[in-house]
Amino acid sequence: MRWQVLLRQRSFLIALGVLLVVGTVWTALAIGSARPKSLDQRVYEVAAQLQCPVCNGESVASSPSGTAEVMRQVIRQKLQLGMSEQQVIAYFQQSYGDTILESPPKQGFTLLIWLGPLVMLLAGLVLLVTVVREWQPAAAQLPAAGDAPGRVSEDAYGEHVLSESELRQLADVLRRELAAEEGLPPAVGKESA
Amino acid sequence: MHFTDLGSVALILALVFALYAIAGSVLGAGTQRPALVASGRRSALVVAALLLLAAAALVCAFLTRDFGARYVAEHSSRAMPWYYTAAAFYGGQEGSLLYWALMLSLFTALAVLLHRRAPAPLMPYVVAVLMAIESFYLIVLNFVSTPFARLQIVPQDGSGLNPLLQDPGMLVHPPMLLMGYMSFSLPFAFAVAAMITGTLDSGWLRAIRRWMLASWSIQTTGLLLGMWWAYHVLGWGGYWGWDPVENAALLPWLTATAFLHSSMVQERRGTLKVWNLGLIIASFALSIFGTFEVRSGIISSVHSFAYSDIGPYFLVFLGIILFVSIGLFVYRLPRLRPEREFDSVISREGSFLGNNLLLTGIAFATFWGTVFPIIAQVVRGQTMTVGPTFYQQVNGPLFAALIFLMGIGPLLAWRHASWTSVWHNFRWPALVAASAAVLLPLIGVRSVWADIGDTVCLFAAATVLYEVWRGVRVRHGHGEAYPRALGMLVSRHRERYGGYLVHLGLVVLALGVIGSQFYQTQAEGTVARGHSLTLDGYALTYLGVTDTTQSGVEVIQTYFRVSQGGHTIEQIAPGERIFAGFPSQPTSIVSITSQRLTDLYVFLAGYNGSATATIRVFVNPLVSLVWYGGLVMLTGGIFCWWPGRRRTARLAERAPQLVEVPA
Repeated sequence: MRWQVLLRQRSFLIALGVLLVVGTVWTALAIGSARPKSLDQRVYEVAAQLQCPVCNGESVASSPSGTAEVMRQVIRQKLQLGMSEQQVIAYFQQSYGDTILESPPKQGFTLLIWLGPLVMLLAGLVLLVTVVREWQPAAAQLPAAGDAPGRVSEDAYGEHVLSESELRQLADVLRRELAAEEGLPPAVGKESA
Repeated sequence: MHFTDLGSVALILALVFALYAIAGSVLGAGTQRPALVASGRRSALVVAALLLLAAAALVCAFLTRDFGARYVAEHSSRAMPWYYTAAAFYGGQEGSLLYWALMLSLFTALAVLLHRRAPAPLMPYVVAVLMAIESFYLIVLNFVSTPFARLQIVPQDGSGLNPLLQDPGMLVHPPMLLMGYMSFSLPFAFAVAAMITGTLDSGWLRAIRRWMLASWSIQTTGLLLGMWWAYHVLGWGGYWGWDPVENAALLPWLTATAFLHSSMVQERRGTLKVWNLGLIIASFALSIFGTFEVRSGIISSVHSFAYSDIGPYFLVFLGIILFVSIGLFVYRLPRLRPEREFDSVISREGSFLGNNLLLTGIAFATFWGTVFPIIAQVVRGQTMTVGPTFYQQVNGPLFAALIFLMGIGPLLAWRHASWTSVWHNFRWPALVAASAAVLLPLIGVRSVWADIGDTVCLFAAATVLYEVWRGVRVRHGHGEAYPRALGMLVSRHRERYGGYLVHLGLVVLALGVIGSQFYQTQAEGTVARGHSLTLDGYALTYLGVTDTTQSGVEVIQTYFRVSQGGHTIEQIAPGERIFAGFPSQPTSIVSITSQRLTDLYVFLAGYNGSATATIRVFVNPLVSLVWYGGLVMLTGGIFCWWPGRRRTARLAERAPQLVEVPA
């Protein structure tokens, strides 16, 4: 079994352990309490989700116009009165309609805009997998060198597989040729041994 | 006789010569008459000379303050200094079209001169395609939107240039971006020529890659300058707003980046020809789409000063481009079959496929978000905007995945990478990244998304540095000292290490984006004189205001003392400029104080004499990294592009011919 071979390898276990630790940290961060936000920060976050009604393509947070400034003050007042961010946004949505939202809501017709990229990405992935399958040599997967310790002497193409010592000799030749190509003298360190 | 008359004549003649260049090149190539081809090539050079003349005429009209010329009267005034007057050349639509046409003609001339010894069958068609694009611009310039029209009554003074454009950033940002848009014409011309002649060999690929690299570098510069300008002038504390026009400039950059990667697969493995041609066509079509979008004003944007009625012409032009190139593409499809096969997904080419999927995915999402309001308008009659939230939520994770892949890709072997080698290449970088993931929360990175983003960035940086270190160590093992080993390694493999430099730059930029995105803080308030506004340990005390007028520009500056922990750091002076003739369009003077990669960004929102001032204050951590990273990326791009030594050519000769030239 492939996974049993994997499990016996030290490298795999180390990688798994590291992944676990990192995963734990990220999960802790995700569910842990965020730093309490200042009022300014909350005003800004709400304002960033509202479109400035008198500007071209600027949010209430980014627009320097007077209207945006007044709207930011309204947001501040409403938040101070104890309304939640969602409630303040809903308030503006009620008085101005959906056009006040800086990005369209994830429901109804405008859900399309959010789904579009996702669908295309999946379609691209499917296309890629199909094409790659088609391009792959008829004789299924190549066995990865060094994956299986007790490997056979022929690979999937029925070609002779080199022994370790043959491989080492060829690697030496290759290294010498590459060094010559690079204009380097032969190695002086342990690699020449 | 005015300079504008000279310009008009030059434009008409340029159109005649451009049309001749098309006819001469195509007929000459078709009937095997080299003399005719040569005459076509020379008339392309003449077009360049004529457009230089036309551009010079317009600049002279500006500098001599010839307000009888409508374009000059509408875009300059006597009060403007000479440099903004000269730059007003591309400050309006007609002038920017002329600039575009001029740059295209100069690049065509450059291509003609550089590729003198290029394959004989290819160049006539390259010239013909470039001149066809040029002709479109010349037709618009001559008959629809001419910069040389004259007024019946000559005004005493012009109406001046939009204040937003009277800024040092505007001297460089629009010309760069327009040049970037234009430059995608060259790879496109090579692609169309190759499809017409059926010559898609390695020499063709090399030429096209170099032109694409040049386009990429120019577009990168344009985008960075745009970000820099937005940050320093617009006063909202950010540098990228996912504005439709910004998106339009990003789109061809994304497809060009995808091409620069996937074409490596074609170079090495002979596959992906169809895909690569598609990317080249897409890049050019998107650059024309960008021009159309800016000019037509169909989408609401902060760039709305550029609106006009020539949109339909661009739409028709875009239609023709797509029709012709897709037609040719389908016609050539049978020739474009891959000659080699694909071995494994765990390989360099596999990672390039992933890279292309992500880049085109980002490009699609950006395009979709940009055009969706139009679709909604047409289908539902519903007006809407698609703002940063959409792009951040959709593109953010895709960019993170891209950077992760950027860490993995360069260290995978071609064809098929074994798990052993994967382990061998990635254990140290992965360990560095994992340690960072654990340690970063301890120094204040509390957002899980920021931590993931930073970890991915550090992983990518670590793999690149580890790879460079291993290369250096091998050379050191052959007796070279470390600095020399590094120098030799990099100079001998320009493209590869230039690419790594771009990757490192992108990582630095991404760290800057993450820092300023997740950890920006702000405050807004009205401060009375002697009182202060505090934010993140900074205290800003209002001192007073000055109001001066110099050569028609009223400059208002408010003064604040910035202190941190009781110590005064600096005195700052945010303010605004009011240009004569534009009393309702003040431009802001944003005050930016950089300290250890963190910017204190102060925008003056209003003032009431010396009594009070209303300011918006932002603290933007790591934002300097965006500029440093951008500069590193650009350096890497230019380093890749810079003409190498003969060795590169020698190696390339060994590369296989991908498609035979038809007999």
